[in-house]
Amino acid sequence: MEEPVLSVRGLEKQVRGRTLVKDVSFDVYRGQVFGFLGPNGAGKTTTIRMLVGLIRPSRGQVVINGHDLQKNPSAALRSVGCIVENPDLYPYLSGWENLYQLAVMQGRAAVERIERIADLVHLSDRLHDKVRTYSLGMRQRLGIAQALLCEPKLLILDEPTNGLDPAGIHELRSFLRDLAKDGMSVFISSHLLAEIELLCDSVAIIRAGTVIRTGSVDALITEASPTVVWRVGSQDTAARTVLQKYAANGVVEPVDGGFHANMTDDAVAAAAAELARQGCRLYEVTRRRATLEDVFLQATGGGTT
Amino acid sequence: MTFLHLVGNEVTKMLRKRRFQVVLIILFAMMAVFAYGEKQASLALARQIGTSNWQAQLQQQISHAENRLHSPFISNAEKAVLQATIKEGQFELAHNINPSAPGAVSFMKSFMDQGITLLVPLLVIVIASDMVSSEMSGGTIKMLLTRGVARWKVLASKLGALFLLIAMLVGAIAVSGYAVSGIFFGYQGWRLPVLMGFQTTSTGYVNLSHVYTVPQWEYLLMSYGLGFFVSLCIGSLSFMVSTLVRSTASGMGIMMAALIGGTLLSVLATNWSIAKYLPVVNLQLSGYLNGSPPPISGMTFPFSLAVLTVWSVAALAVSFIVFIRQDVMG
Repeated sequence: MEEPVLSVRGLEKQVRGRTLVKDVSFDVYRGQVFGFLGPNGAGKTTTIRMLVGLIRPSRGQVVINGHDLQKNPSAALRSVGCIVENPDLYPYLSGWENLYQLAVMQGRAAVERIERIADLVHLSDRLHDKVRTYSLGMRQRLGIAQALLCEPKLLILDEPTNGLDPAGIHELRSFLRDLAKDGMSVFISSHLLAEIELLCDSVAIIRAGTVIRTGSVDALITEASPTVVWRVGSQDTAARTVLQKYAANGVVEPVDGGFHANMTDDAVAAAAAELARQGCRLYEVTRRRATLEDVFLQATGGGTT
Repeated sequence: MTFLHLVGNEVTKMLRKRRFQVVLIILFAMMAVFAYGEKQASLALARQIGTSNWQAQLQQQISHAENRLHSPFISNAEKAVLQATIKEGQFELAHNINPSAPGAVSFMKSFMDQGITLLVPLLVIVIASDMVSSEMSGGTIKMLLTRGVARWKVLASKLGALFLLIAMLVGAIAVSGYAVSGIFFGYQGWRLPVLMGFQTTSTGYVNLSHVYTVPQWEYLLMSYGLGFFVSLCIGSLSFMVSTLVRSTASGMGIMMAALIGGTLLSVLATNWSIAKYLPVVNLQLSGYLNGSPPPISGMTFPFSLAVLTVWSVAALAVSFIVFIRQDVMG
């Protein structure tokens, strides 16, 4: 397996005896869009601050692009672009000056990239206006431009859709998709689950400072979607008997025009074959697809659907 | 990327925030008011005494001081100041040196002599208190610290920018003092003799054995140099407060309270000798040049320099240690 761009192992932070984040581990690979989910106050921002060296972890290791963040912070951070919480801008400087301030810290090449990156986030027209006069969306885009100045291998965005209108969110989504297609890894924290479901390949779900689930979005959703809807010709008992044989725990719930049963994919295939052999009329089989919200609520114990 | 670029960034931010310009405007306004006031005062004095002859005026001042000296109500510290004034005046009369010869250069001299304890430090505090705390409260510190530049370098660039701005401020004081007061007094006085080497103990004993004169421009170089040193020291202390306190306003409040408290202390607590180890009591460095008695006995020029240096270095050490180690929480 290829080397992860971001590798987090056993991260823990204690402040005055209180544990804010405990045993957080995950990997982010090249070109992956990774979602970091959790309710407010779960430790998302504390974790992100540890990823970019703003907070010193009490325990654990962060490796970015092969560099240990603790031992060699400068080298590790040179391949990271980030927005922590809000885009951090100087309102009394122009957009260009804001970019220049950071570019100068990162070398001549970054200074030469300013115009191109401003163009990329569609800010070229207003680049020489004071940031004070920018709308929230423009500030967000300028923040992303700041993060992209160092041509990062890893882009870390904390709640990037906060304050964006639906069109802005849509634009951001396709923009991030394009970046990931070009090989950049994107790490996004959010509590907007529908957003993450549309955007991310993999997620980690954090609650009360601990990561409780990690995995690819597809796998997690499949796992959370055990219910299969069988539409059969009539309420015949033969079909019911077959389905009971394959359903998990043997529970089959009769509904209008068919049955609901919890089954694995293999069980579905076997049950369908047996129904056909027995001459039952099968019109439709669908798995009732859960959303990431269901996964999240199940995982965080916030209720079931 | 060089360190100079980082310092350049910091200076740009300070200038674009217009904080430095506001300080300059305050400075110009004060210069104009002081110069005008001093002009009016000298006219009023001439009217009162009935002559503009400086020898007669100085003689009047000396006899006035002598009369006050016999008053039973004045403290030892006040007595020392009076005795120093009398001795200096007599010496100046005897050597035909006019201590209040009008001119822009004399105004520059008295502005720094008077301003070194309170006014100049106040202006420095306005600039320095903002350096770190504004980035903390504005959140922009997160950007500065995640760009792969070592934390000590980020802080050092801010300190470099602060020292540069302080140098510009002291320069601006000299230039504006000369330019504005010249309108009232004329642009002369570089070569006027200034008396140096009065040694006054806090008990009021004045030693005249080392007295000599220097041209006024040479005195200015020394007093503005000392003013710059005091400003750097106050700048370092404010810089520490700025790294420790997130709010610029409270940082400024803390420093101003300390400064004004120290000024009061050096007037009131002349008998509390531990106070001499406080930096704010040691700001009157120009006093050692013109022979005013030190506020607390036992203070000498090297002593004051040492106290200021030790406090500044300690303050900067604390700033760097805290800044490098701290967690940047929300």
